Amino acid sequence: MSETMRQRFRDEAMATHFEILFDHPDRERCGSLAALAFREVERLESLLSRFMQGSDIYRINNLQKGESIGISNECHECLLMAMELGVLTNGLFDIGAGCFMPLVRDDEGRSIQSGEEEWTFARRRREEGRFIIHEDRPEVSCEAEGLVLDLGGIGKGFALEVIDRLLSDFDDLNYLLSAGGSTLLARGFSSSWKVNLSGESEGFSIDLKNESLSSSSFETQGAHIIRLGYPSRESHRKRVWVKGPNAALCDGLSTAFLLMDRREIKEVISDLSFEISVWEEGVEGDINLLTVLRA
Amino acid sequence: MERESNVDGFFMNRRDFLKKSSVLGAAGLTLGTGVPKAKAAGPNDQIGVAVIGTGAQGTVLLNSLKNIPGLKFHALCDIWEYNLKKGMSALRGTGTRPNIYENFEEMLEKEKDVDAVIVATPDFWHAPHTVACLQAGKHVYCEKMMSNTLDGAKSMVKAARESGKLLQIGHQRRSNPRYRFVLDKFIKETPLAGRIVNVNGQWNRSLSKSQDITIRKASLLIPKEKLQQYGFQDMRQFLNWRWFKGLSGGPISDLGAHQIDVFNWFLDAVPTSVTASGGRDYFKDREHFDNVMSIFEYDTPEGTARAFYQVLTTTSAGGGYFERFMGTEGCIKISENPSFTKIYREPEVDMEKWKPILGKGLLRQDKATAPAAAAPSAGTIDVRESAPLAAYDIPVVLNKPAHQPHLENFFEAIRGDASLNCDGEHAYRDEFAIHHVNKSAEQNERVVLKPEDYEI
Ligand SMILES: NC(=O)c1ccc[n+]([C@@H]2O[C@H](COP(=O)([O-])OP(=O)(O)OC[C@H]3O[C@@H](n4cnc5c(N)ncnc54)[C@H](O)[C@@H]3O)[C@@H](O)[C@H]2O)c1
Repeated sequence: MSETMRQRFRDEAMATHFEILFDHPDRERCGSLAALAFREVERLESLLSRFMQGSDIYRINNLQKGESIGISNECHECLLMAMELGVLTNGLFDIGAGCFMPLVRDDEGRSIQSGEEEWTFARRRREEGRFIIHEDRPEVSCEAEGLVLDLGGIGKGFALEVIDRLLSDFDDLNYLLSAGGSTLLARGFSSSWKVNLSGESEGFSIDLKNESLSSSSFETQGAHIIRLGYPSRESHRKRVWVKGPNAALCDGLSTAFLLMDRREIKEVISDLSFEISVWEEGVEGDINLLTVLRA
Repeated sequence: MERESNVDGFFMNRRDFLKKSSVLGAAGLTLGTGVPKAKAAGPNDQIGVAVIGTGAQGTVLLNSLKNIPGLKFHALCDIWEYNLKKGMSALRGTGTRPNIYENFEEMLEKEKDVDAVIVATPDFWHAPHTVACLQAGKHVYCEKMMSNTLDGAKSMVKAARESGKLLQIGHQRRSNPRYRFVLDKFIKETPLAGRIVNVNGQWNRSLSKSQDITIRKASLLIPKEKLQQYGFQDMRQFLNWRWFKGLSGGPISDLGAHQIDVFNWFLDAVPTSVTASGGRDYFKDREHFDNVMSIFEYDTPEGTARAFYQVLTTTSAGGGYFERFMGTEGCIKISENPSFTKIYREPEVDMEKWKPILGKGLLRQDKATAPAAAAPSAGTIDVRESAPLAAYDIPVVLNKPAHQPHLENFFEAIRGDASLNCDGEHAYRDEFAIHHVNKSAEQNERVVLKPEDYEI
């Protein structure tokens, strides 16, 4: 694919930047798809952001005991995916940790310190809280208050999935979607995309076609964000890349894998109904293909 | 969780998921399959609903409509199957399967149990759809703009008068509790901004979001004859109707309508003149102006107020959309997006006037602009950069999708429990002023709007 054919578009949403690369010379045609994509992300943000008043997640987080609400199909699908990720990773992937966020960040997003009492209280609330996600209809009920959902660990990957469906409904161009530079989705109707996996000292490139890649590192995530509210786990690696058929899955797993040992990762992979690839950058900076397994 | 199913999950085998899902229980999320709770209204109190136009906005409205108890969805109508499917899918789980139609006349003829119709089609279809529905004895909630022509908008008001049915126009801010609170408390009850002398508002969209939409997949294309039957020359017009003169009023009416409505509503007046400038500054082949700037003059009971409004489709300028009411004593900045909402106090204003309001918790001081703990000692003057204006937040939360309260108001009015927050008569007055913006910009001159011109 020649570099000169590439068209690049960028927009800000979901507290990050979204980028789309097309390998097609017609800038107008590509720009039209990019506009469609960016409007879709804006719409998704209005459903999935826990900060936006009236969004599905905002309304879920404000449910009182015994109340139920209807939500959008998109939010419902994302919640069901998040639940599966929670099960796959034995609870390490956790969208219920939103109640700890105010203890580490203030309203303006600055880091703050909180006292042990506040943490204990938040942990108790979090453990008491319970939502029922209805499987057969887009509805959520609150059985006990206290839980605060945050889709930060999956929302961007999920958004790429939704954009991908829309764009491939409308056209058949090859494109590479990126959310924050850390989660990619490559649609290759005719060719694949070369992407780099760069660690601190080593790096190599792989071909991506009709699949996703997500990377997480302690640098960008910080273990405290991943296991918010609970004792931090020992870190086994600096960075993880996960390649697989779904961007939401890769997004969620790359974060959880940072904290899992190899045996645990293999267990997750054996529970999956399709193939994924996982690379890690070890603490020494060496990059290893951990495993490619079929369940 | 008691459930046996062979259906696969997204990422893992269903059986494995169920086996391991006790972990999730501990994480506070449980999968449920229980029967939906009965909605508040009994079958006899139900309002029969149909939706014409299940595109982007129709689907947004359906996502709100399904939260409102007491509605029964009888029919969805759209000329594009792709969007009709999206509309149907938005109603998943409501237990209803509405009939689907391509043609609204056929729908009106067959669906006798429909009491209310939601119209979310392109602007040039609003008048034909709304008038036909009103004449068929249905109440109508029609999206803004009322119409792309003043005659169209007038015909809607007349049809509502003649039929005695309700016509609500989709200026949803009129039912937003935060907007209503600010108007009641800080403009009417205690005019915190003092005399409002200026207003400004904007809606800016980035270039990346303003491009034409195109479709290349043959399976999604609508045959040309069908498009033309429904008033669209081709797919480009169908997907980008907002840029075409016969189909829409362009960005000033598409985006500006909401905010110029707020100007009129908050000032309780209509413009006496409009002076505008606009152009095809970037999108040279568009029929409508891509950027428009306009100045309205108002005669309020307290004197003249001037309002500036801009709609830009070539830059977001980081600024988004808001309305700002600037008075002698303060400034009220409000937006559908709460993060753009703030009230500012002019430095010379006596705090005594604000204290009762703060005391009652009707406003919250913004942490970043709270006064420093130690006041300067008498007789000394600190020399430093100017302090920011004291800023306050409004503690009213909209815990519903943005359009839901306005739809609720419509159904409450049908039940006789409320009056409409934005009926056709009121919306026409906005419509009249907005229609003259393009005219002023095209002719490059100030247009005077006389009170009698607003009458129908
Ligand atoms: N209140 C708001 O915040 C808000 C926001 C967006 C749009 N809107 C308004 O909603 C309306 C629709 O806008 P949109 O963005 O959804 O446009 P859209 O193009 O996405 O949807 C319009 C739908 O109407 C259908 N349609 C066209 N002609 C028809 C006909 N004769 N009969 C039946 N269906 C027909 C189209 O197939 C399409 O599905 C516009 O009036 C717009 O101004 C309001």
